[in-house]
Amino acid sequence: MSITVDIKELNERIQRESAFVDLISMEMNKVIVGQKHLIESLMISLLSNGHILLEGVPGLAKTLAITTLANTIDAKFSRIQFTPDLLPADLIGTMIYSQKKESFIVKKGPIFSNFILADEINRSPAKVQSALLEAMQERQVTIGEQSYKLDDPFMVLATQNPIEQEGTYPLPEAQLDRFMLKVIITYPKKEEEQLIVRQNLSKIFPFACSVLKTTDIIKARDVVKDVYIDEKIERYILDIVFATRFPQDYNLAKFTSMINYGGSPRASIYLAMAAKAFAFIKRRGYVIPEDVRAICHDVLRHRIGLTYEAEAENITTTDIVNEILNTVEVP
Amino acid sequence: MRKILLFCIVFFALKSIVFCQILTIEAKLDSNKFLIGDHVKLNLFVTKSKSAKINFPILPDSLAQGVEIVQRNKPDTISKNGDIIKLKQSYLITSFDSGNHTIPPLPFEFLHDTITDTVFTDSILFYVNTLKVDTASKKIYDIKAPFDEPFSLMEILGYVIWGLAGLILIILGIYIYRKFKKKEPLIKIPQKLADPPHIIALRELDALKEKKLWQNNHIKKYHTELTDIIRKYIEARFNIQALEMTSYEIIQALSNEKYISDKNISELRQTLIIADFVKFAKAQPLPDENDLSIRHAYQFVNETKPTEQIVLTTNNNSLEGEQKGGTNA
Repeated sequence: MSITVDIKELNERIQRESAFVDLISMEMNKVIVGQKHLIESLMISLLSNGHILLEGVPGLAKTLAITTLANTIDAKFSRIQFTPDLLPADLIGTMIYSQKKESFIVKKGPIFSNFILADEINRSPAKVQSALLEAMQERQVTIGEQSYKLDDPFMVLATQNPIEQEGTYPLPEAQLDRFMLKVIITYPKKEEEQLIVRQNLSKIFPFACSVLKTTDIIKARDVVKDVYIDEKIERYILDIVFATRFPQDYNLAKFTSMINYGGSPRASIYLAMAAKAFAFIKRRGYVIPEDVRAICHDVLRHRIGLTYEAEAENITTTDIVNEILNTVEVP
Repeated sequence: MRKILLFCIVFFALKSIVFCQILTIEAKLDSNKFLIGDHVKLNLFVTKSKSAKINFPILPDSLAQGVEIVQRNKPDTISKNGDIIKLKQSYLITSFDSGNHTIPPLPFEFLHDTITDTVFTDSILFYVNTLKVDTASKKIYDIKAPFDEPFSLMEILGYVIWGLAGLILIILGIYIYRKFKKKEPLIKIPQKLADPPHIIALRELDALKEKKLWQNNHIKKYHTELTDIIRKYIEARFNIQALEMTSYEIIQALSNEKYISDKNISELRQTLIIADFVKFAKAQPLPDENDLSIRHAYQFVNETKPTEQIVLTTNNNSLEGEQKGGTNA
């Protein structure tokens, strides 16, 4: 069997360009025990130029994973602890009066970095969360009358805690939709936790070294864009997204009353982009249905709005995505 | 003057005589004595000249107090003698009051030439007898209740028909509602017994071979159809949702099936991998590989189809076919 020339070339390019994936994984594994899915999701987000939201109970190394990833890349990194009294200006910057220059000058906020860790993003009110909207989508920030381009790569890595309700502000749908992936972090296995305990009791805590430059990421992103996605896979993606909007057309009439709104066109775009990035991580120059299925939950779980009826019956978006994947025909 | 007066008297006297000769009216009862409630005929006779016109009286329902007309007949000619005609009209009368009764004089309007006059019949006296009841020796009974009409099916036939029609409509309504609710067709057309999955798969593989798709450079279509046939077969044969599974998931699911040999799984894996390469990575398999894929598909279907075993039943010495899952290998 012969693979067509372009795919063969692409495979070879991917083999060359994706070498850093192993390096990053290795560095991250020094600090983070287990959480393979989390590391893969961070890589996908990094390679697809998307933002990522991590959700998990406290103590599951959400913040540590993000800081470790930032450490592996030689780039500007800002950590913003979202608090109830945080203001948009604290995030994006403001105009301050310079007595020396006798005029207003721009004081840029911490958002002017390559990697932004928005820690516990749901602790700030909506006005602060909304300040991120322009930055996340347009990759620019407007202070006063002037718009400023953000550095490339620019990536928001946010964390939130699902169990605390008091003093938290749930992210609005428009904000959620801008996150490419929403990853749910679960507890580590028993053996993994034993390693975590040992690691924390040792005298020297491991540290991830910088192994990558921002230019390497931009270069890798170009290769990811070239990953071949067949028309059949595109149709499969669209079927999945449309099944979230019109479940009755896909023999899922039972979900009609459960789904308030389905995935937006961003869902289709991010599914395709994330599938390409996943294929890249797996060193493949083309996307297969397995890639789509692997990232489907992370892309769709925050894009499906549930009705009160679904909540009353304890139906989660994970259940709905599972059922969709079990119903939509694989090409 | 005396002569003129005498002439006039003679003239009018003669005229009266002529009248008397041409008009006779008479009212007669059949009997002047009858039992209470009995019917008696009252006949009215008129004898007149042909040219004379006479109007019979229009009698009310009650001729006198206690005398009622039961039936009226039309006037009828009973005889003709030259210029003289005899007419008759009869009534049937009755009375429920005992004692003496009188039918009053009945008026007849008479027209002759230009003369109009009313002529009356004589009144008629009659007696109505009553029944003698011996209350001392006879017992007095209470009023009898109305007799029940004999029951007839025809009486309720209308109700029965409408009732049945209503019942049928209600049952039909419920049936249609339930079918609509279940989203089923109103009338189920019995479906032809479906062929077993391996027969369908082999038939479709034959058809695919006949199409000569890869020979005509439709390699992607060829592998897509080939894998679809295999996946449909797996779904029907092993009840695995193969159409909604990836190649890897299908192989994983089949690995748990005890009737499938490792060789079959290995060959199927190879076929699915080649198809995935063609479908998603623009791969161009060699002609041998295209041919091998369909041969593997045939082999997989043939070696995993249910085998037919001949079981000898010793009791009745008859042969019984039984289908069992398993491979021929």
